[in-house]
Amino acid sequence: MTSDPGVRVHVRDLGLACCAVEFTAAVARGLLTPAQDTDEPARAHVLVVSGTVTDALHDDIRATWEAIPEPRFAVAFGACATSGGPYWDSYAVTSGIGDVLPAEHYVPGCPPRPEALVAALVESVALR
Amino acid sequence: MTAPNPAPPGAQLGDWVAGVTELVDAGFDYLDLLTVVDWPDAGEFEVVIHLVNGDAQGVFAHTRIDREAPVLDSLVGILPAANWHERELAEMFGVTMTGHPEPTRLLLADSPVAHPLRKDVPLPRRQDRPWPGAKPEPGRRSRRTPRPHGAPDQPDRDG
Amino acid sequence: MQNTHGAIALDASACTSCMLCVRECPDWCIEIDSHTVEVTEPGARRPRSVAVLDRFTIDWGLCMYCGICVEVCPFDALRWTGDTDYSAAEVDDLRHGVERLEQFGTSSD
Repeated sequence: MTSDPGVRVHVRDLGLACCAVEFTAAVARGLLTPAQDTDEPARAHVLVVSGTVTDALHDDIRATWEAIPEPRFAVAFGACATSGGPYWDSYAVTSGIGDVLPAEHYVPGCPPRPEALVAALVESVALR
Repeated sequence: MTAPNPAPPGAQLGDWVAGVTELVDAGFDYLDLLTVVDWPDAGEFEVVIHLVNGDAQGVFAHTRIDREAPVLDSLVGILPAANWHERELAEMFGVTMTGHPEPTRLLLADSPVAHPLRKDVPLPRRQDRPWPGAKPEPGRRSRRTPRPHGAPDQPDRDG
Repeated sequence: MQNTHGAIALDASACTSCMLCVRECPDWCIEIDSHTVEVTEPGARRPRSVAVLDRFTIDWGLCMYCGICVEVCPFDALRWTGDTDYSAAEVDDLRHGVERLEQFGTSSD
C-alpha cells in the first residue's frame, strides 16, 4: 500500500484490536491504496501495530515481523500499541509493542483518526 | 462492596445442576453467559448463568458458593458449551469444577498469574506505579485519603 | 473535522490545581505539581492562598480520549480540539506539558 505520491512505502496492518478499524478506514477513504504486483519496489516496509498487545501473542508477533522484508520498521498505532492504553494495568497486556518489536514511531489516539496514521507514516519515513 | 448483592439476577438455585437442568428442559438451552461475581466481604462467589430459548427469551439464575474453598458441579453434562466457561472461571477465580472433563487452563495457559479476577488479587502494575492523584490539593492537608477508581480494596493503595 | 477525540487543550490560567482531572482519569495519564503562595491585596484584611500551577502533563501514549477530565473540570480549563497530528518517534515525547497543551486548538488548519 502506498501512502504518498513522492515516496512509496509498503504498509501492513497488524490488526490486533479496534484500531485496525481505523486502518481499514484509511484504506476505504483512499488515504492508503492497495498494492499492485506491478508496483516498483517499496522504499520501506512498515508494520502498523493496531491494537492491544497481549503477552500471549509475542511469539506470533515476532514471527510476523521476521517475515517482513528489510528495510522495515514498526509503528505503534493507538494507545494500546503505544503503552497498553486503557488496559495498561491488565494482567494479560504488554505495555506497548515497544517491548516486543523495535517501534520507531508512536501515534496517540484511542483510536487515532485515519488521517493521523497517514501523517505519522509520512513523518516517520521522512525521519529515516 | 460491603454487602452481598441485594438484587442478584434471577432465582437462586439450591441444587445447581438440577436447577439448570430444569431451565434447559424448559427450552432455555442456549448458554449465553456463565460467570462469577466476587463478594469478598460476604465471603462468597455468586455464580450467574444466563440461558436463552428458541424465541430469544432469556432467563437468569444464580447460586452462591464459599469463596475460600469454591467448588461447583460442572454443567458440561447438560450444557456442553459450559466447557470453556467453566475452565475460565477456574483459572480466573479459582473455582473447582467438579466433574469437568478437561479442567485445564484456557486463556492463561502460559501465564504465571493466578486467579486475576478475584478482587483481592492486586494488579502488579498498579502497585508499581504511584497514583498521581494521591497528592492532596495544594495548601490543603487531605482529611480523607483519595483513592483511584478500580478494584476498591486493593492492597496497592498508598496513603 | 469534529472537535472530539482529538487532542485535549489546556487553559492554564483557568486551572486551580484542584486535582479533579488527575483523580478521575481512568488511565492515570494526567499529572499536576503545584504549590500555594500568599497574596495580599491592598485593602484586604488578611492574605489569601492562591494555587500556582508548576507542572501539568498529559501522557498521550496512555490517554484513551474518554473526555472525563474535560467534563469534570469545574473551571473549564480543559477542552476538546480536533488536532490529531502529534505523533512522536519516542514514547516520552508523547508526554506534553503546559506549553504544548496550550497550543492545541489554536492553529487555523
